[in-house]
Amino acid sequence: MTRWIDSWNAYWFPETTALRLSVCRIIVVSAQLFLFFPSLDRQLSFLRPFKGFIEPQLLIVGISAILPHDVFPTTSAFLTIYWVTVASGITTLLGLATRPSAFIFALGNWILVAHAYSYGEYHHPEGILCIFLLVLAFAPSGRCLSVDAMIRRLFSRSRDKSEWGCSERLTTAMWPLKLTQVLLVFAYVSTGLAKVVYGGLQWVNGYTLQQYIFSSSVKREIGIGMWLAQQHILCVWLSVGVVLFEVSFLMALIFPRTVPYFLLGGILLHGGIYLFEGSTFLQFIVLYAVFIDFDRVLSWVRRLVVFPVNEKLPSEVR
Amino acid sequence: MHKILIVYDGECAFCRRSVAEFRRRDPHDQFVYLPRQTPGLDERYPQLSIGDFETGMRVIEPDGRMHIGSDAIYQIVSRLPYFRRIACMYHLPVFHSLTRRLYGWVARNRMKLSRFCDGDGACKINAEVARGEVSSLTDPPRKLGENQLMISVLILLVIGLHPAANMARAINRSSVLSSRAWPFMAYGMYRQSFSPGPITTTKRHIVGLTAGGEEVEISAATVGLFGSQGFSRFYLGPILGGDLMARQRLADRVNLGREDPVIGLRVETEVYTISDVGIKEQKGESLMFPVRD
Repeated sequence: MTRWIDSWNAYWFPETTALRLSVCRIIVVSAQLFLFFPSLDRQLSFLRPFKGFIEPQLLIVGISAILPHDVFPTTSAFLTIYWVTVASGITTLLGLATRPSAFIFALGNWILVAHAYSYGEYHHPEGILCIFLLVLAFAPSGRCLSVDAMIRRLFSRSRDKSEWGCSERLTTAMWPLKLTQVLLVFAYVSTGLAKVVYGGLQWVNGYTLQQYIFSSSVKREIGIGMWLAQQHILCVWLSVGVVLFEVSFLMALIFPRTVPYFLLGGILLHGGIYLFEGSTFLQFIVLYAVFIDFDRVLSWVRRLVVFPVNEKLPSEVR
Repeated sequence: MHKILIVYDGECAFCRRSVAEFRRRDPHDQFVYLPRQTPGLDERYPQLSIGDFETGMRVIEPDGRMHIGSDAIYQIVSRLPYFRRIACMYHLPVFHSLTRRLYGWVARNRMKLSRFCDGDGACKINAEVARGEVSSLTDPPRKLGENQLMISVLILLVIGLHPAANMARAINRSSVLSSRAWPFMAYGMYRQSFSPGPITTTKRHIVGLTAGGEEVEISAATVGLFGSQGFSRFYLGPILGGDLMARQRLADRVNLGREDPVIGLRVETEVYTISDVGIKEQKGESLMFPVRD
């Protein structure tokens, strides 16, 4: 039992700096604020002139059960939720009162997205990203690269003012990144296995992928998609590639050296889905930041800046 | 003594952590904390010998009244700033019952829970505290986000809900957990395969015919829906299946605020097929449905 607990702690709570987590906070929150933020017009269009949910999400059911109907769901409620969420997103991005800001930002996004999916339609792209936003509130994501760190530094009694909190080692800075990695792996592997289990070998016969691309591209009038749907041999190879990529994504967790290849594959996959079918899973690409070791990236950048490529490194460094 | 006495298990790291939290959140210093192992405690407070200490923490008020277990926790929390309003929920029957059960489980398993305490000294047996010295616990209090036990529970919950959604869909496609527990959703999109053969797709749309002879294009946006998935599931598909109620529901939505109401629905179909010479488009059969039979 102790060995299991030690293994669990070693995986989820290794001692690291807060740099990776903070960089991911900045990337993901920026993306959600400026690229993927729910549209206010759409939120309000659901409320008027028609009233009444269609298969509402459980979160919305819960809120509706607690709050009176003249409070939620109403236009003023959603205006408030929307602007409070925007404001908290900005403070989360800046790292000001990071934990409460992140919590409010996550909660606001959860409500807005769940509301949009309470009218007979639901999709997958936002799910894992919104979970990541929520776990930021329970992690030291504002310990580094933040206004909080700046304030802490100003009031610090330490004579060493060079610390911005980014070199402080913590045991709770990795688990949000690891959790998101696991969720991404789960999404890909379960999608890939579903194809194999339900579709069998027929899934990679080329006709299946052609059918999906053709249906989406015709519906959305995407010319390049309609072209790809006519390329049978290419679709055979692409379908094999898709299944292999999804089913083997678990390797990115087990063998970290394979991460760059899987990230590249994922960018090609989601970029291709967007280009040929018009379905956006760009949120997944943003979440790939959780796989990147920004500590190492920063040390490479420092070496490049201090020791340009043409110069040899001092022997002490080597 | 005018302060309220809290008696806890000094050999339990989880209990010491809890006491540290209370101390941190009590700016008015309302409590005195003594471990159960303090010598002479039973003589000073005879009421402590009532019942088994395994049932939980004890709180003794200045007038001698003693509270045990979840009642003791309530007495503490109701005196802490910011928590008073939450504490009043303890009086609700369901919440009261749940809290007592949860506390009972925690009390029985406190030693196991203590193993999840991290190794920075907060959870090691503090011999001085166990002997009964009333001293402040020197371990720095930790925030919720740095409590590895709570984080581990959160991790397991988040990870566990994902396969639960998949299993729910496998058992019952229309299960609530498979489609209405966003963001915990079943991932298995595009799992259906297609046999070799012509690649064909059908585009359908609905045109409303009004009493005045006008034609109105009806789409998802017209009826306040997000996209085509919901429109197909709740209107187009059922209408094609002959569902009269679906036609009436659709017309009611379209006619809201209209002076010239829609009285008929025409479903137009276009069939697209990939052929050797490119994409062929064919007009399919148009089907008419009156709004009311």
